[in-house]
Amino acid sequence: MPPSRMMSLSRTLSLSRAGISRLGKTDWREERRPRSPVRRALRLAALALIFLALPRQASRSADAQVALPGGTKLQEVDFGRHVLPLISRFGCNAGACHGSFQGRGGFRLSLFGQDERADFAALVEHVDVDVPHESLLLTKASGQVEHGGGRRIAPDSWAYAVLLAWVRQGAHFSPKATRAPLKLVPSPAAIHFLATGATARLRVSARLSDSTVEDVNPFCRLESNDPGTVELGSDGQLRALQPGTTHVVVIYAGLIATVPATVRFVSASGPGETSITRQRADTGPGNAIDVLIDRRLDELGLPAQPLADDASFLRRATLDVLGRLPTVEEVRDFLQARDPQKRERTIERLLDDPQHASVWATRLCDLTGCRVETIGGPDELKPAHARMWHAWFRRRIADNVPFDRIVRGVLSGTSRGGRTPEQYIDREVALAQAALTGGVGNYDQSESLDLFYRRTSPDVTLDHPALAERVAAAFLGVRIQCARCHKHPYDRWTQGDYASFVNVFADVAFGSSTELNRAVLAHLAEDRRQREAGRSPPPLPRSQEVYLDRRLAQPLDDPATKAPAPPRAIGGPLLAAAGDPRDALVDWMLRDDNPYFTANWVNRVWAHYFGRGLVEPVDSFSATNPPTHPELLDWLAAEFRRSGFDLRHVERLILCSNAYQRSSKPINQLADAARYYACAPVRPLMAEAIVEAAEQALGERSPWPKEIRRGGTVFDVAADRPTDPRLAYLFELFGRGNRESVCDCDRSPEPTLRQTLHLMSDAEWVKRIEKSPLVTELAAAKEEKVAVERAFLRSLSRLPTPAEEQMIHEHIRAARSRRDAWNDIVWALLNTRELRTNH
Amino acid sequence: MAREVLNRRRMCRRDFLEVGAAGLLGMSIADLLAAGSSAAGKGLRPARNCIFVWLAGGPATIDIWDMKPDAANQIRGEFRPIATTAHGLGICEHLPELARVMNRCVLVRSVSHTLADHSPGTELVTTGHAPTPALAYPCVGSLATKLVKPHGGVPPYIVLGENAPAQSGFLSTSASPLRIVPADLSDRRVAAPVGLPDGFSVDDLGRRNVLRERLDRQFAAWDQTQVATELSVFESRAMDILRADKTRKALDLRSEPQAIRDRYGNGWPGQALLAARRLVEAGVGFVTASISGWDTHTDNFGRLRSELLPQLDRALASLIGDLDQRGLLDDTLVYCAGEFGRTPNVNGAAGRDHWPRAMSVLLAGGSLRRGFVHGSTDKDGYEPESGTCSPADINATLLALLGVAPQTTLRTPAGRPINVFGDGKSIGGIVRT
Repeated sequence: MPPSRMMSLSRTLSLSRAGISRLGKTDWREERRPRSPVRRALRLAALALIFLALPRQASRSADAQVALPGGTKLQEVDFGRHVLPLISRFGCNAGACHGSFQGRGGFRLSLFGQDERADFAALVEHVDVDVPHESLLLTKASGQVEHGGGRRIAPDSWAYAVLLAWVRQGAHFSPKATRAPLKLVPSPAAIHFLATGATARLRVSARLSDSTVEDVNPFCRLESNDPGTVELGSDGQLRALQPGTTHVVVIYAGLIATVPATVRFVSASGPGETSITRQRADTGPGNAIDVLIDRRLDELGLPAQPLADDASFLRRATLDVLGRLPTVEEVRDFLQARDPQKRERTIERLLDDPQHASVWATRLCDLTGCRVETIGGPDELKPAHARMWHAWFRRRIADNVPFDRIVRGVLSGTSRGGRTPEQYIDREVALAQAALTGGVGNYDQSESLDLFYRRTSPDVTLDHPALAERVAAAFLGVRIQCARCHKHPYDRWTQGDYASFVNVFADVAFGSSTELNRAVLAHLAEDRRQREAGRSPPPLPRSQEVYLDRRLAQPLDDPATKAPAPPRAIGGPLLAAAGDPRDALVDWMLRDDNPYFTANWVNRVWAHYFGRGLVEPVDSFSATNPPTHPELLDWLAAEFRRSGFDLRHVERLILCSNAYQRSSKPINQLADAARYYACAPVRPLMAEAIVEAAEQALGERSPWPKEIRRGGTVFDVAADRPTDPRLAYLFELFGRGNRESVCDCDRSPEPTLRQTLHLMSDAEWVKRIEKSPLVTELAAAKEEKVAVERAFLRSLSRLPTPAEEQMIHEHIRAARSRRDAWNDIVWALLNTRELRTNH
Repeated sequence: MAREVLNRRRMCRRDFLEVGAAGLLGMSIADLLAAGSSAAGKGLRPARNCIFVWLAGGPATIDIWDMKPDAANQIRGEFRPIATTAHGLGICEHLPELARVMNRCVLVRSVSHTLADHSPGTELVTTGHAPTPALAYPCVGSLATKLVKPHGGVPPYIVLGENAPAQSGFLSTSASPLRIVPADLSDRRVAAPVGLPDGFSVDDLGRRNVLRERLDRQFAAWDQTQVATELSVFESRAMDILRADKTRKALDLRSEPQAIRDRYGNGWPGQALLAARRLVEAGVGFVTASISGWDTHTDNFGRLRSELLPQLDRALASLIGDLDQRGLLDDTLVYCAGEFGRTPNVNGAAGRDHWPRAMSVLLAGGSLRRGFVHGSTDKDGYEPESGTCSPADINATLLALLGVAPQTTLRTPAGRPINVFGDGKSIGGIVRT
């Protein structure tokens, strides 16, 4: 609206400037009284318009020149560039203050200043352009008038001066600013502290839309991602508190920049330097991963552990790749082998093992949410459907199908694919028959995993928003849940982005399509005829399908436009309205310039092998959560793409790196060293792995479900909760998770008191040890030395040290019987921390 | 959560207490308690235990604790209030046993918040913080475990029930509870959670443990890693628990006289609260007992009348009466709440929907007043009218009554200082003076 029209509006309303400011004040005092929302809205609109008009009239005589902390002088105060950023910087619009949904004290701002217009409308109600210093904005913020949030801004501060100058200059706001900030330029772009206690200063400028650069330093909100490592003082002063790396996040006017900060462990000229360098030079980088890891270790001045010994390496890799302990023979063979390439050869053997596919099938079932409770269809088929889900992934990982094809099979496609309804019904009958005999039929050969969309919950057949959130977290590593109700507070996602992404799936339906219904009726009629003719056709299961039907779609509205949001990839392009937007989504995900898909996946693989992602949490890629090793993540992602999405290639690279193969022994006094891969991390075992380790050590498989294949492990269990109550109990005890939440934290492998109590005293467990083939075998062994070795190899996957051997001999001599002694020894071995962790 | 454990790796070193200068905010409950312990005769001292009775699903407190007999039909509901031993205080007619012990309780009728979904509401009420992706906060039980000196020989913190809320948030997993599920209290249990099996003596355990410790020496070099440290904490705690054998005995409800078991009731609420009392007697500092079924969107009155209220009535009244009779009430706080209240307006299915704007909670024991009502709601129960307080205020009050100073600060694994009271201010008016 041109200023002239606004002026005329203000005249028609016959409000003098004094009148307006009085209105503003009255407003405040009245605001606790109930008022009609319509009147309030009208009044607000009128006020906003009037104030938009006023600046043109207001004299510039206020000529306030504000001196900023950096020495810069600010001539004209701008609402978007100065006032709102200050409001953010002082936390006024945080969720706990006026940024909350209800506002606070009757004053509401948008969360972190995401809505300039609304914030302007709210703020102008609290200014008095006639008597600027009496504006509630100033008197409240400076604590001169009672303020629930206390004093945020001192009256003699520069910030106060900025706000005061803004009011003096007429408290105006130009929504289409010619000088809008486009990009933040922090200087320096990366900070290297040479030692703990060192300080540094960060200055931030912004490039504006008119190509000028403005110093915005005082207006930025700075946050340290790890205030224990780098602490933020006032006006951009940073202090190194302890060695490590972190990021300083700069937030200004809706822009985010991150500045990596590194604090060296050893001072650059320190005496440790040469020995560190030499130590690593001896081994040499294992592969390209190590070049990037070692570069960071050098920056940090961190020494690194040498490679782990053979037994440790074999145990670690076997647990990670196959989810079980190495067998006695595997350990012996490996220890005896003289082949200099034996680690590489072993890595190949492990990656080719069918159990490797089972481990990743389980991980993928976690990610895609394979839960018996929510699989749609007849109850009696649900456990079988879970098995088919697992088998579908298992087959593909075993065949090393390129990951892009796996993802396309999960995300796109329908139940029928190219089949006619009749062919589909025949297949459903065959699958149901297979299900009843405990099999999976040929489901694992079908092109798409339609089970991913076969979901029900008590409330809704297919919960599209929940599904979209899962896809975003699982395949893009992005959390969009917050944007379901409001703009994401720590990321850029708006409710519109959310609705657009959900609508990618809007046409997907699960149930009985008209076509299928017709075919089912025909099939039933045919069955009836068959029965009348004395034959017995196989029973027809309740047939449902995943299909596309735009007529059934209920797309979400974009709250900004109040119209259905067009399908759009999150952070990506609009997806073609013609055809299935899911296909276009997958196309976008696989593009070379996709920022999320490959990075997310290599990060998840990394996290599997190190217990921690380069981006952590793994499902939280965002501007404010940068990776610890950005170059490494980029390189791995590029390598994954270059290899044609070869999952095993990425695993091989990781497993062959020195970073993976290092000893896990902590470096003295440097507890954080594992974070930078100077030593391998010590991790709790996955629930399945600890259960499997116990089974293996004792040498006897429990009578557990049929789905554990010959030679398989409990990783073969497909359902979220197995039917065997004892196994279900153990899975829950060791934190397997129930796949209910989209979050990676659904699994909680961390130790608990109850786990320790169980391994020490559970009646059935203690009895199982005492009756185990292992104890029987050890007690019957002719040669005690051989028995001791065997006991260690079976449990800890290594040979005993001479001291340990001595200790065991003594224990046996002091015991009432050999059997008693071995009961004690096996119990003790299975209770060691060495057994319970991957190290 | 997996994510937390990884973030927590670096915890031990920084996970320390910081207690700042006191007295900035005037006399807090904790100050009063401290003053009371030195000033003879006041009888105020920090409580040692807390039993948190969690009514999962959000109880219709308008039909239980804060009835509106004079409101219109569709708000009043089907129940009438009855008089209680607390002067002038009426509660639901289906709580005759609780009516007898209300002279030992504090009813807060003015708790208010805005999160009307189960999971965020639960997080807010149990931790005092609305959920945020930035940080997972610990629930009050974990805070108490962290901040109050535990007794030996028993787990410091136990939760009873499958879904009892118990997130330990940014605290290390050693502040998380031992979870006991209904199956553990039944005779046909899958696994015994605590206690040595038949034929496995304390001597056997001790002998094996000596061997375990010697074998574990090989792993001593790993002691400074987070996981190894946590495992050590649990090993020594487990040995303590198994040697003392108090927890197993406390959980063995069969050793309780049948008359008392009958008084508590034989359903889960009775079993859980009886177990809670026995655990507190054994020295467990914090017990959360979760009772589900309160999400009464349909048939609110039928479900309250036939099952929910009679079971709660017997169990909770027996618990409070028992603690008092055994001289434990002064040392033990009882707190009964759910994630929110329910809509004053009865819906078309004779149910009530989620209503966090106004809810009542029951407190008893410790240095709390006896037979007292704090706060009130408007005539139809939509909003608090006086004494408005937040779930964080209630949590702050509990912590203060347990002797935690209001300035107490914990650090997150990232080093961020977090005041344990958060936004909460302890409600001085409900404490004895």
